[in-house]
Amino acid sequence: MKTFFMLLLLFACICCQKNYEAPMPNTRWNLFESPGALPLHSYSRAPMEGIYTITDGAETFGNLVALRWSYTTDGSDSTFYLSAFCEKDASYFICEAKRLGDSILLNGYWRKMVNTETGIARFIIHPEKGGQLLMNPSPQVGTDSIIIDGTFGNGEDLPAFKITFRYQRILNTSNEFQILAHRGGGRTDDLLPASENSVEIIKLAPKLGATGIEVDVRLTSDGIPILYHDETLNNRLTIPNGMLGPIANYSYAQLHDLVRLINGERIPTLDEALHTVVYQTPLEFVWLDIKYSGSLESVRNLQAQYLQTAAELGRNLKILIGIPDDGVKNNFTALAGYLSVPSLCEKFEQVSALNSQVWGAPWELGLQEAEVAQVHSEGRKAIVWTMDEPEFILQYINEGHFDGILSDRPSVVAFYYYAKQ
Amino acid sequence: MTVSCRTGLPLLPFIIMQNSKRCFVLLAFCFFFGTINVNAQVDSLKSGSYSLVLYAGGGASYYSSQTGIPAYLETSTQKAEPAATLRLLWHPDHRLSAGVETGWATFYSYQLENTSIPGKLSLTAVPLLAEFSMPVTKQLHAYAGGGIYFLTSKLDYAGNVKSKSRALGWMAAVSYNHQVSRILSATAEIKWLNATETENATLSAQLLLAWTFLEW
Amino acid sequence: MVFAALNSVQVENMFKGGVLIFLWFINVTAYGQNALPQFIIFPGTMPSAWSSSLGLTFTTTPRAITEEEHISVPAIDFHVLKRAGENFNLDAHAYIQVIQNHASIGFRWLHALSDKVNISAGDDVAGWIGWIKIENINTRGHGLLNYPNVSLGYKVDEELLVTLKAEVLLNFHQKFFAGEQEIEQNPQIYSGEAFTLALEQPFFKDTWVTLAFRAMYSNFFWQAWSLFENYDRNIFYPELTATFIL
Repeated sequence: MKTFFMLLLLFACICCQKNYEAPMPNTRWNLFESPGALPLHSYSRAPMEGIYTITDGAETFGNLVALRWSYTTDGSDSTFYLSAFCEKDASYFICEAKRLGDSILLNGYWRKMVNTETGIARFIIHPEKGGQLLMNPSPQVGTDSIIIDGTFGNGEDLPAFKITFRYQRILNTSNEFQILAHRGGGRTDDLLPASENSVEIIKLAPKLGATGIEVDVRLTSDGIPILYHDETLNNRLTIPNGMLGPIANYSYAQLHDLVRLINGERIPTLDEALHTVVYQTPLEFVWLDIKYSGSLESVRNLQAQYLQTAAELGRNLKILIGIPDDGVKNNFTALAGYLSVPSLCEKFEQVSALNSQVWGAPWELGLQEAEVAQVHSEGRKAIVWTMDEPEFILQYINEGHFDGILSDRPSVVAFYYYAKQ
Repeated sequence: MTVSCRTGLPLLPFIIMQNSKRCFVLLAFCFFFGTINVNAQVDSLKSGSYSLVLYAGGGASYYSSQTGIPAYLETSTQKAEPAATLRLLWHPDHRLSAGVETGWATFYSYQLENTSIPGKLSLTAVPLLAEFSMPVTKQLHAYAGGGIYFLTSKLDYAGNVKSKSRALGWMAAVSYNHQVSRILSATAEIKWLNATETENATLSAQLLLAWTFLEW
Repeated sequence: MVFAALNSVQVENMFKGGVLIFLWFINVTAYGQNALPQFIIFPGTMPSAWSSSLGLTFTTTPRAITEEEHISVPAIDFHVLKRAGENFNLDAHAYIQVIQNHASIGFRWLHALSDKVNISAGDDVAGWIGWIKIENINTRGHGLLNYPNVSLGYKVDEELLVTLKAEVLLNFHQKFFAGEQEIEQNPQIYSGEAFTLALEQPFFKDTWVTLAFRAMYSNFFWQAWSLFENYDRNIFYPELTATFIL
């Protein structure tokens, strides 16, 4: 009996522990890095955008996919990414592109947001399948004029499964619809490669389909606005280091020098976040969700500074102070000239009084057609939050009149919006 | 999804709390057959009387979690720290005893190295746990309980911050008892304190004095 | 576990209620019991026609999914066994948190392998229902679950019964309503497993208690329904149960 007990105990010691992770695969592809692979002509990009049918690979990713370009800028260098948003399992692809002769290479990875599945993805647009056409400065694109042949793999495995996209039609961009990514781009819990409310997730947001972001704003003990969702430092959001309790107890220096978000990033200041939005992304909309009770002066100053910068750069950017409750409302109305401060109010009955540009409507209350019509009649916009269920996203896009959707899964919103006929 | 393997006895309770069903099944079997094994040797401890026993003592603890001390900071870390226990148990007329336990333990402290300004941090816990106890043999007792850990983080870096937090957690311990007199006994105890929500755990060795202050 | 909508007063009241009921039953159960082993989980032939237990079950869930809406409130645990033959027990079990509740009925087929070792196989059909106000939005949900199970019991002596129980969690139906919206997520029928280690023994006088630890690995947990979790992963939910056998 003792021997049996010891054997079981020993076996228990070496048994396995399960962690959920979705690490981004290594996408290095020798052909893509070869000397002959050159940057894509800028005129080739726009015609590639569109709705494609998936012929091979439909059982994994669904029948349709929406292809859309985004970019990040570092100084004078811009890197363009072609994202593919699929219907099934909230899946998406993010690829970079190069031309090789008259072919176009797409190299990147795919991910399903409903689970941890991810892998490498590689595509080629052969000359006779649209590659040559896209080398033309003014290509005439129609059904099946672009056929993207590719392979995808699981995890770090080399791509082995065939996938094909066939061009069908242009993207729907019929109204100025905002696809807003929650917490800067997505929740830490969704196992994205960057932590929520970090500079890195803000750079990722456009690749996930977002045209705007919502970020959570708190104050350090020395009054610096930072991005952080929870009231406390905790293991959900930060790498444990012994610092616990309310984040408002700590100064900027302490947080900057000693704390790292769960994927290793620093907690960004609002200044850093807005700088990233303006100088490094094409994002058009920033919702500053105020998570603290206190003066909004420093937030308003940063908002004004970056709105001016964006205007000087010719950027069409909205930065709105979110007003979720009466406490924040009181601090907002304490601002001098608050009626001219761009804001987003979550309470319908306060939108007019605060002269908010946008009403933030909870999705649970339905399409709220009368209220949406009223804010539209006053020249305001209506954004619905926070919606992750595909069937509701589809319903609100097709049947509702909101001007945008806030979601943890912007790629799903992007798919249904761009695919709308 | 990835599966990673870790080995080592000190990690057992940690592993159980971390999503391992195989671990739990195996350990449950271990405990099951272990119980069979040891209880064959135990006489019934039924005494027919009730007593309240106060345990107090202290010793040293060793921080045993893999998380908690950040790899991205250069630190001089102190994992061995003092610990103390105060426990009140009701011993009814059967094997099982029940009560509450509190105490004090420093999980760890560290000094920052290679930073532009000097700094240090300590993380201490005061548990408040509901607890059950059972004898395994006449001298050897097992304890298990759960409750709340009141955590205090003291940071001295670019200013002083004393910040408090709470975390759910549990404890497990075994003690060896030596009867000194009718109402006093000395116990040597190995104890695992685990503030699960913050992933902090410490293994301590303590000496306690048990005083049976009320019998009826 | 209750999330989101509970304010501190509700939590405090529920906690107080639980403690009061717990203390009351300490008194109630101090009388009128016999010396035979009493059990509610052990897979043995019951000494009497009926057996029941009352106590509390504590659960917690990872902050990763509950985020800051993480409040632990114990559930009142009420369990009834009915002897339906020498080798057959009927089982009814309820977890009550008032704003969300879970009840099951089922059967156990029992078999004694020896004087000390018993096994059982059974099945429980369960329903759950909940209604919570989250950020001023009324949410509600209900669902149907099924728990096929097997148990291995060991009678250490007349004063200690040890049981290992394994269950499969089958989720047949779930429906949620948030405000005006009906959320129908197709449940993954095979949603996980649960393993329980239970000790049943006399505590004081002739009053028996059940102490159990249940480790559940599931992609759906009825107490977490209000999170509308849409991520396909199994999460570890530990449950600690302390009940008095009445």
